[in-house]
Amino acid sequence: MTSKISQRAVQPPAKPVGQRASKSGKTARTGHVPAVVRGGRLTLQQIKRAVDTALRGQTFEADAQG
Amino acid sequence: MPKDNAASGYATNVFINCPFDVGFEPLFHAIVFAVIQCGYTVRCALEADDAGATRIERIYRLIEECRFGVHDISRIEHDTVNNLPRFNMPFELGLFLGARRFGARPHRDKHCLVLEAERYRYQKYLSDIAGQDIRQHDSEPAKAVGAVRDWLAASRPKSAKPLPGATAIMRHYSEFQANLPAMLRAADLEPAELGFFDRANLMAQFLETRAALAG
Repeated sequence: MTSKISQRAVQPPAKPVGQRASKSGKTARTGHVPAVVRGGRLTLQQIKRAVDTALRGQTFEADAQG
Repeated sequence: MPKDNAASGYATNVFINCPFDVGFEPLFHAIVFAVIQCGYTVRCALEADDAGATRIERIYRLIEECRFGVHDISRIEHDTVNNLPRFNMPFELGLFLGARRFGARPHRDKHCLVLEAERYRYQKYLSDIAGQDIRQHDSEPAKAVGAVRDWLAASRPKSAKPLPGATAIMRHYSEFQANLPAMLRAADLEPAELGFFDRANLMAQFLETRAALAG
């Protein structure tokens, strides 16, 4: 049986989150671009979809501006 | 020479030199989260994209590519398998300090943070590092996060935007931890399958999405 894990393993590595062209290029509250380096099992699209799915419908407290 | 350009990200790369055992994971993951939220790039020996290189060659390259280094030397206990201490962390700290001391000009701007669990304990086994920036964390993630955050903040120019406070970072980290099981389910990933890169990328994406939702 071909597992989903092995299917993911042949996908191209995720593009570094901090290097993609996001809408603003920065986080909204801190102004700092979160960044990690290359690699990983999940693609950028899978990462974003997982976070969007998990956080759907949630609200978060806004931080004070620095 | 460090590859001080946008491709390598030398100026914002943070080398994390710490134990990678299960017991240290709570601190390691919290430190990684703090570095990412502060806008820096995490680098560590868990990067396995160059499997052909020897471990020491990978360490050399990491140190070459990182302006910052966080070195936790708190794991001085004998391991349970061999009943011997592990020397990798102090060894890599020495390499980092050596690069700063003897390296070409760009390396002389390297910043080094040494973390220990207990205050002044290092004086009993590594007294030569007296005078370095050494902070204690009492094996508590919040204290380690505060130490890393404050150290990064101190290295920034006065004109730079202030970093989020340690309390805010820990609050966001707690939110990330609470949502991690749902993220893994959505990614069809088992907790044991979550590696360094994917965890770090989930952290970064979480912060970005959280900021948008809070905005």
